[in-house]
Amino acid sequence: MSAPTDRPEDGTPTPELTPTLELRGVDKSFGAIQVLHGVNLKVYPGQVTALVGDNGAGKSTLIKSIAGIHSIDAGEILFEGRPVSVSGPRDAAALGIEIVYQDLALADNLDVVQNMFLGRERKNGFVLDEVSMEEAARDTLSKLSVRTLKSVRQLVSSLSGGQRQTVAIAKAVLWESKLVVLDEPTAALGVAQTRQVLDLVRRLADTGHAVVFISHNMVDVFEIADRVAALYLGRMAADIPISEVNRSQVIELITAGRSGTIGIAPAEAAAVEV
Amino acid sequence: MTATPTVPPVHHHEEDTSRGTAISTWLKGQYALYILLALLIVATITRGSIFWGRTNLTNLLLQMSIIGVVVLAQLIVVLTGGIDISVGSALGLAAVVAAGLFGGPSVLLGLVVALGIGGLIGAVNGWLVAFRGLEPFIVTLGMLALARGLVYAYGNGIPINPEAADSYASFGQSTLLGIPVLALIWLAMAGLIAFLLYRTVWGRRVYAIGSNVEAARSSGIPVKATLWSVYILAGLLVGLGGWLFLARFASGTSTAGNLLELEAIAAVVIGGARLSGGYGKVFGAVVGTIIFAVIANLLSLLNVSTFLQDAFRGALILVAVTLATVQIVRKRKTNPTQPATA
Repeated sequence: MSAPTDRPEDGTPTPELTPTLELRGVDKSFGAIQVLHGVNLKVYPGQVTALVGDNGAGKSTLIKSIAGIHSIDAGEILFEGRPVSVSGPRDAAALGIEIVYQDLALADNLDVVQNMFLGRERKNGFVLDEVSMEEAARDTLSKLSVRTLKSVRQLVSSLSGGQRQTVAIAKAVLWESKLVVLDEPTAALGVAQTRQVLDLVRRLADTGHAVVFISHNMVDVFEIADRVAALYLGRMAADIPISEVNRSQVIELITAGRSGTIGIAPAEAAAVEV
Repeated sequence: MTATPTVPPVHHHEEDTSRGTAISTWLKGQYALYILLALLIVATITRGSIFWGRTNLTNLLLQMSIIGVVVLAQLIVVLTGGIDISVGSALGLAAVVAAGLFGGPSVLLGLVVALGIGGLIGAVNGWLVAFRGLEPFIVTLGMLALARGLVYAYGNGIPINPEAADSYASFGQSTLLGIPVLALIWLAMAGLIAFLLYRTVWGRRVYAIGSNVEAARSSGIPVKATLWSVYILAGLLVGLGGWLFLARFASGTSTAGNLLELEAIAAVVIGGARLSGGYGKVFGAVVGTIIFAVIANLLSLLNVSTFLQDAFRGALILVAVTLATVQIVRKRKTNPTQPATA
């Protein structure tokens, strides 16, 4: 894991910094309906990029394209500066992309360790190497200062919503993912649990991961994000440091696609409106 | 230990105490074991001398062995969230073809043929379920009718006696250290399946698929191939069951394995597995098998009519399922932190 990246106070990445993930002009249609229109996005290491947008703006389609679940129709995906083609969860995982889905891809009847290693179990010859997996899981959790879990051998079904998010995020860290996409990780959580998860997301970025954080909650977004990317009806209205906007501007970007001088051009916005 | 100082010491302390109570927690969950215990007590009181007699125990073990391997097959399918109701017919087909093909000249050839038939049926079931996305219930329902029809067609309803009937019979009666070899084969299979389920990546995948197929898929688990392998392995076990049937009765009857699917499913459920998948143990399945064999045996010893025996079995299934749900509800209640949305 790389050292924490220097993060200037205003959220602008240093010029020479290569985005971990860059999308250039990504189009995606389902049949006759075009969901993504020439989407550009840059996600930097050590930063939390908040991906915001109304329901149906294309957030889910966008992350599923990154995960390789949907193939893109046009445009480029660059990972650490290199053009890549992702054609499935395995490809994405091999690159170092980990998606933590909203509905939490955890298996309830398996324990914390088993879930963290799901799909990538360690073996000792023919046999599962439980000891080394348990140790690695413990290490990762303590690295993230997770103290909320009683035991790593607890079944996931016995965990609270916040603990489940924690396990899902720790799974991403365990795999030394470079890019972690979190789909509304705080949506179903109470106040204290939201706090824990937000802290964890911040630590994730501070340990050098590039983080995409999808949320509808502006308080959360302004608390932990370094950059904000607003999708409006399948178009990227803005992808800017969060220090350049305030909360009402972000809400305008989400609802109208533009705010003052930022956002998609008025003519285009009007065209989209129809 | 690898725990770094950031992990509070409470952690270890708690784990130690939980390990201390692990046995009592485990015992609390083993209601199947209590059913068995109650049955054994009833058996001892009512027909103790006959029940615990050598002949009866040997009979019991032989009876269990055939059902036992089929229950194991059912267990692995149920763990994936599926169900296989073709096991009885498949066992019948494996038995009659193994008895009849080339005249059934040798016990070993019979084994190969039985495994081949069972594996083929499992492969067809599994292919339709895994790669065509069909409902396991419907697929195996079709297979149930198909295989049973073939059984009748193959023997015209007449029992098929293999040429090697005597070898089958003597093999079926052979013992090792006083234990019937057929029972040892069953227990070895139980050990093998337990090893595969608990100690290998394959087993982990089976549990993950049954627990949350989306999680399994997004974690990069080859869901279709794993499902297929589960049905094939189940088919092989059922084929082995057909061979054990031949060894016990030295004859392939057209009713071989009839209604066995019901007992297999019931034994798996009584053993604590959930039909929704992802939850169940080999030990429970073995206990479930023993319970069913003991009940059948006991009811015969008590001269209960065969019709009432079926009623007893049905009632037992209902009791066991009720007990299982009581347990699940209690577990939920002790976890108030779990969100309703989860």
